[in-house]
Amino acid sequence: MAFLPKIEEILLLAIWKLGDNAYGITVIEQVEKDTGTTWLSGSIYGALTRLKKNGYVKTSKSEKPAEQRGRPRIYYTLTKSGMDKLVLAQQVTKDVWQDVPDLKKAR
Amino acid sequence: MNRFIEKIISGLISPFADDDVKLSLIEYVENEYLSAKEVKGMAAALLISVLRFLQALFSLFTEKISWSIEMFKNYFKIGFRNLIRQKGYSFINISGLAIGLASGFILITYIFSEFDYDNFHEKGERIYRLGMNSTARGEEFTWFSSTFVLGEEMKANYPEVEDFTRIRYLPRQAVNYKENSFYENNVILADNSIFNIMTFPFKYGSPEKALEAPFAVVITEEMAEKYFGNNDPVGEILRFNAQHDYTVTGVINNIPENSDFRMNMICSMQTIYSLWGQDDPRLSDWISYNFSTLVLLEEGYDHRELEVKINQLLEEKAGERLRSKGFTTVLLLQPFSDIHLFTPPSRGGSQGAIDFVYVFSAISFFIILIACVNFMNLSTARSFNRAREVGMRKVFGAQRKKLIKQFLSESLLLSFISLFFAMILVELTLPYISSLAGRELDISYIDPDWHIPVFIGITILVGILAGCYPAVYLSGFKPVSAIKTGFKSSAGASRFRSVLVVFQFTLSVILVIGTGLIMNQLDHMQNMDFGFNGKDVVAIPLRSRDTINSIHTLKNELKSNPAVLSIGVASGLPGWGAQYNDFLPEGFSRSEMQLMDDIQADAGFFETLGLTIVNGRCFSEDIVSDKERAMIINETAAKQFGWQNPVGKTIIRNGQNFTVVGIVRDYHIRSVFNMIRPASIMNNINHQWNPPRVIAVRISPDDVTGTISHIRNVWERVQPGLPFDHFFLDSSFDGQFRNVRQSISIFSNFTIIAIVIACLGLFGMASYTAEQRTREIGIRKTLGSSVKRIVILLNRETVKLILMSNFIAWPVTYFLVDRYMQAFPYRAELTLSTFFISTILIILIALLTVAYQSIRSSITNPVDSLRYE
Repeated sequence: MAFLPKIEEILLLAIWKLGDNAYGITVIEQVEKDTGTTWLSGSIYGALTRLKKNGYVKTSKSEKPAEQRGRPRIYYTLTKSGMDKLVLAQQVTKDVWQDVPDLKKAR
Repeated sequence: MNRFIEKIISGLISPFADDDVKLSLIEYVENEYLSAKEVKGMAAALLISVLRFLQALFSLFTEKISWSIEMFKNYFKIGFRNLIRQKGYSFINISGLAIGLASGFILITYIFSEFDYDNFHEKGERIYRLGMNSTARGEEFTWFSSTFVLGEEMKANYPEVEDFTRIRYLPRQAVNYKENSFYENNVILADNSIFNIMTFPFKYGSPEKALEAPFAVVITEEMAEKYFGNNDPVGEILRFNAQHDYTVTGVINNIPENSDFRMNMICSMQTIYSLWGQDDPRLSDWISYNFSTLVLLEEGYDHRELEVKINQLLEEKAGERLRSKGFTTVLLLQPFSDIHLFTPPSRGGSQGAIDFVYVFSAISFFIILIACVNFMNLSTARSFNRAREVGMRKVFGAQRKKLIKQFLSESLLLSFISLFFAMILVELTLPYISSLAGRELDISYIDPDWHIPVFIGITILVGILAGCYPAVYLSGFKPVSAIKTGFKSSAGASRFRSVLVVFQFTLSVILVIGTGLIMNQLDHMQNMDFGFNGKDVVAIPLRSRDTINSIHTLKNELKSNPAVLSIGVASGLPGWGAQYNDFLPEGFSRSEMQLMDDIQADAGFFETLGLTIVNGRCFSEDIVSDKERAMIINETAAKQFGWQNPVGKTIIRNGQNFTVVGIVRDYHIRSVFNMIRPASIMNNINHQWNPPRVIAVRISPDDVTGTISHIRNVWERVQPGLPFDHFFLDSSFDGQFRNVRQSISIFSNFTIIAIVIACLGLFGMASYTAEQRTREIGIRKTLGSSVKRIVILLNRETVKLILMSNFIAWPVTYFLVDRYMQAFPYRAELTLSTFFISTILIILIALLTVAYQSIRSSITNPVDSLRYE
């Protein structure tokens, strides 16, 4: 059972949240919103490529050329194994964090 | 984004990403560009999108490397062997790239530190500064001050305004605690809410009520140490200007260097009622802009909506009055993060910080390009060395794509080796650079999460940029001709190399001429006729009522020393600027009020500063009515009012009639970065709203120290409570050039770097050519050619290329510098001589670079060079 690195988990989750509307910009915006940082925004492309190589996401071109002068837009969707990983990640996170009080207050 | 840029981006990342990722990235970068462009302008948007792209490039690159580590290992090994085999060329390439990268990194560190200004305020994104855009009689100006009442009204009326604070800078204060007396700058008045809006952690005391009461002061750690040592000073009393007692209510941590709000002492705003009086009109008026106001908006609120609302409010409260005065005023809210970089150059006239950022980015980009060109030139020139390898690889079935990758990885290897040296260079030179830039830059500014990817991204970019042409070129050899002996690189390639050399030198020439022209400009401004003589004028600032009341005594006591030649008192010195008031000159209607600089001065002021009265007379102590009735205007004013004989005309100010008694020759009331405006000088040095601020003393140039100690003694006798403070007028006026001087020293240093790198490349090319032409030279010599002719032959080409570079660089520089100079109202002419001198200089440097090689090969004995035939 291989765990996902956190950044991949965040990315997969962002793509899942966006559903049909997951393409470069929206994914980055979602990640920025979820993590509250804009520093690393450009860097997610490496991780996206990795996810694709691992077969967790697949890309598809938009059918009709998008707004941008006929350039197709690339959409990301979760594959089945990607979804499995996400389910696993949620399960693990839940289990690991169960019974842990709010650490910020407990400090 | 146009197709061309799109192509560049996709070309750069194609080794690391597939088509889909490429498309997605292009869209993202484009989007970053477009959305930033709307808010911050084109150049900033370009910068941001390039940074984003570099991050992506870095992440894709590391991804790729970790996937195909084996393949790259092999390429790197071969590349490394090649580097070792050709030590001389590797040295030129690596040192060039290392210097290029290092200067790029330093400039980027600088840029980051600029973007980092005031980033430590936790609520920064919600803070806005009130400003206004005002048009009066065809003149438009933007400034960021506001009225006393607006902030209060906003908080009371609009729920989205969570909080506000007003800030007012006090003049330099004499601060005293027991035996410790110092002058302090950056002392402000502010509302207690400043601690809610900005983030200033408290060391002692608490932020909740620190500035509620009048005469409360919060000081920084540094100040606390200076006055109180290591003790907790809360509750202690500081005496300001030997006049007011302030109770210390808190100590905040020192404010970081990269902040535009570096206060030393923050006094409570309540104090203003005691300083100015309860019923001072400036505290209730809707049109006197004396405070800087920051507001804190609620999360996610669009400040443009609020802008509309406050403009309606202003219209309601003061619209009529503003119009009757001929003002059109639009209030605006400036996002806090824009304050440092995007505040438009104001009356101070200095360049906006963002302009420096652009210029420096351009220069660092130039330097990196020049270093890349070296690599391209040397590796294609030496291509015949690799031709056989390429041929063999192809014969054994290597695809062109694979070969391109191989050569690219070699250039990447080189750029990473350079990265290592560049880092060392950066570390070594930063202290020096900091002193050049006039501010602390150090490695600690580099945030590993965000800057290291950018640095490495640049390194990769440089590797690809430098390597792409050689890779495409080398991999394109036909196996048959490449393996054959006597392979020669094509004429096309050598022409392309010439183009690259021209390109390199064009950039260098632009930098040289540009620096020269800006130096000219500085020279011009420093030697301009300022209209006054500041040499040997000692200025003593007046800070408290008490001092002002004893001006008479001071003057009399000072005069007792014969070395004191004359004494003047005024509301301001040249370079200080002046209040800016409404005047009604004779012959104008009430709706045509004229804005004039408003100075109050005595007759001695004219004598002390060497101001010339060109028409009429100066003020006179003997004419009592001068105090209330006389006015002297400057030449600009006379010209603007269209007056041929201004003496005797009437000008009304605030309902009071003044008679023009004289015309003073224009002098620079404001800095030389501002046009001289119409100005009026009146004789009432005890004016309530425009009090005297300085005593100017002209002293004899012999025994300056003695005279100053006389002045000090007088001061200490008359003003025992206040430490003596003085400066020389000429050196304080000179202070305005500091920024220009600083950028010149940065310019010239980077220009030298650019030339050094370009010459390194030229040196490499020269030694290569000399090597190639050994036989030719030998034959020419046996046939009777003289050394001189051979030297000329070898250098003709270089000179031709450099002349061509100058040909291109001249108009480009002219255009760029001409635009830069728009910021200066008093411009030096762009002299041709600067262009010529720079050109000759560059040619000389280039010839010196190639001289060694060419002379060496021309004096070789032909027997040695032809022996092998």
